[in-house]
Amino acid sequence: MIVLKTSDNETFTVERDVAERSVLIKNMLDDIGENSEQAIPLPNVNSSVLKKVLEYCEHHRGEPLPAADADTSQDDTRKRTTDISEWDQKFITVDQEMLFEIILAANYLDIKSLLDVGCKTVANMIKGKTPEEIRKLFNIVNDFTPEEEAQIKKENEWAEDR
Amino acid sequence: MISTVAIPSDDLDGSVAHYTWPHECISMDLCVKCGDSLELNLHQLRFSESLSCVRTGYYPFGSERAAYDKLLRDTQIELDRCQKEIDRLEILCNKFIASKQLLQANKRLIHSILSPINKLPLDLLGNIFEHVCYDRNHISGFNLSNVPTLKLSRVCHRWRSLVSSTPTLWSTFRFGEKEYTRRHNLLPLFLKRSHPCPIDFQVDDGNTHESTSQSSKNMSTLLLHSDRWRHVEIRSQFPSAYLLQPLIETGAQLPSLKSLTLGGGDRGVSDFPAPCANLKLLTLSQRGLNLQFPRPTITHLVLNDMSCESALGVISHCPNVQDVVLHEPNGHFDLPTPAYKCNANKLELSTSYHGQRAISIILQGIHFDQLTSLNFRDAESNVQVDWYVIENLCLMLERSPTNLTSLSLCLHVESFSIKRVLHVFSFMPLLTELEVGERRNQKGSIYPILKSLIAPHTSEAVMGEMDEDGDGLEELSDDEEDEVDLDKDDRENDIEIPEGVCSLPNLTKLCVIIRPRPKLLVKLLRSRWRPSLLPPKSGQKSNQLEVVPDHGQCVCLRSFHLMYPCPPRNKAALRLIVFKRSLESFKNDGMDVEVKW
Repeated sequence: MIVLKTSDNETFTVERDVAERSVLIKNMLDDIGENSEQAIPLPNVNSSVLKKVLEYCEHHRGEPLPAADADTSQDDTRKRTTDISEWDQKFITVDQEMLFEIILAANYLDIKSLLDVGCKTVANMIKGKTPEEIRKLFNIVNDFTPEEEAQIKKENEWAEDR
Repeated sequence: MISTVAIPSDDLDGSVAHYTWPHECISMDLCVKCGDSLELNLHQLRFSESLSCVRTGYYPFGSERAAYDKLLRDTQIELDRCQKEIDRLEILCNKFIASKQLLQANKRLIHSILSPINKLPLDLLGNIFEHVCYDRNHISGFNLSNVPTLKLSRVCHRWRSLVSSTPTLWSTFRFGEKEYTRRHNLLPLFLKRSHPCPIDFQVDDGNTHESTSQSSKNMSTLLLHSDRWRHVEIRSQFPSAYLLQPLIETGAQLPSLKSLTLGGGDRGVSDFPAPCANLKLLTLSQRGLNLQFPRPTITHLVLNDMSCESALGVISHCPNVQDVVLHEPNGHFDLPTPAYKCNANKLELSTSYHGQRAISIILQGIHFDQLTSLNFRDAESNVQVDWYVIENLCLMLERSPTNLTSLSLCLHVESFSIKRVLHVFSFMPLLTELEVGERRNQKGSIYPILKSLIAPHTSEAVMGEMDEDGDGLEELSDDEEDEVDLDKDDRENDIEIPEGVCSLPNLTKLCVIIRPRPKLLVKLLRSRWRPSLLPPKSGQKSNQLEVVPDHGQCVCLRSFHLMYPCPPRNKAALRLIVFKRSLESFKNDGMDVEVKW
């Protein structure tokens, strides 16, 4: 069993194969050796987020980890989708605060499949929306400089006139 | 006080009589702190008296006239005082409005700062944007919703900067058939901003003269960037006219090209001399391509609706191809000698009724020495495949080393008797995975296959493991099919298996697409379920392999998947559930069982 310590000083005891879904933890474990009973500190992840992340790792334990060159082979075969499995969709149905925390945690812990699920979820939220709808969705303010506004106008004219 | 002045509902064009004139002095506090106030003694202006004079037609002369002149001046003075205050207050009000707007903007700014999406660093945001933009920039019509890259660049300053400085977000685009208008020229913008990344594009120019001419212009522009082409898909009625010919003339090289799809046009053959040092996937529809010299980098070939001569020509130029997909080849020709050789380990064939001869020519004409996986299906569900096609398949397998380990057979073969099934399977002794599908209008067509898979009980030990009485299995009735009169059809009972024959002895994975025949399938599973022959489960370290079957025996079937060929209705659905429950005992014992619809 492996002990993980979060930024808010909570500890989680998990099975090694679950924890090793994270490449960061796997590398740490390789470094400190098999028999160390030290808790692994995760200063960038709080307990509520780690709980969610571990739920994901538990569900996907035993599945093959993506190969290091997965991106390259994807690039070759041109296979990319934003499809998300049913379980993952249900898992990632959380508020925006938690969604982005999960993405950050997945990035920090180096759990590629979870990072993918998070990014695809946000991508699916953006798809089909107008810029104004996107601003509303994520509470983003329109902060364009006058120069940028002029450039956008020019882009429109440029695309339409030719 | 001010409330005593009743304002008419209409503007000053309405009757002046609508005004109720106040009897006291009106005082308005303009500032509660400094006591600044405006007082108006409207009563002294004798409004009612003037109104009465107007109504009676009175006209003043002499001193009366002078009194009215003074009254007019006094009224103007009060009016000016009033206007001055209004102007001052308007300025003040505008300042308030401006301040309110500033405060609101600041509130939005702070909300924006606190927005959770701002937690993401730019690299992760870029990753999300790539998912949004991938394959979706439809740049032939200027509709923002079809061009996500532009759309993202119009959300905010940070996003715009990121999008503008990320070439990959501009590197995938397509031209659609329907959107050809004069507003098409986002292409130069995408080419400029995608630089120096490889570009992926798709052209589908339709059939109109305008669209083809427009595609031609776009292709000329794209040819200037041919060194960056990576994944290219072109569907046109005239591929050679605007793609291949300029390529040939300019002698362009395509060093980054990884996949090329060409579709449409006539059934001729175009020359393709362009060197493509990294081309891996080639997909052709209808028109053939003379590759002119060996293309050792191509590993995947998809050839749709092509003449068998063109298909063989393409295959012959791809010495290292791994996967070959041949969909509905057609035509016929005299095979050259010697025949072609193909090193693919995966072959997918589909045939139409009229394409059977072409399939036979291909099976006769190619040596597939490395073949391990074969997928053979019909292109239309009502095709009845002639036996000679299967015979040619057997001859092809006979010529090649017997390495086939995976077979998918979803077609209806004419006169597929048990004898013929056993004959076909005899060429695949190493087969471990089998998928067979019942065709919609050909129920019962795979019974001989399933029946041939029922293993004989050659060992008492094995017999002992099996539950001959069906204990633990629910009683299954074969006469409840409500969609078709499936179970009145008992052809399976007439199929006799020769004594002691065990076809496909190494089969470990079986997938059937069928309206289930519970008794037949359960019998098959019982005969093949031999867990004692399995190697120890993972976790127990062992180098032991599965027991290799002796003559007449088979290995343990580990996986059984059943897929209902169409959405089941009423009793059929219930029946499937009952059948699924009946397989629970196998599942509990460790077999990978799945029943889907």
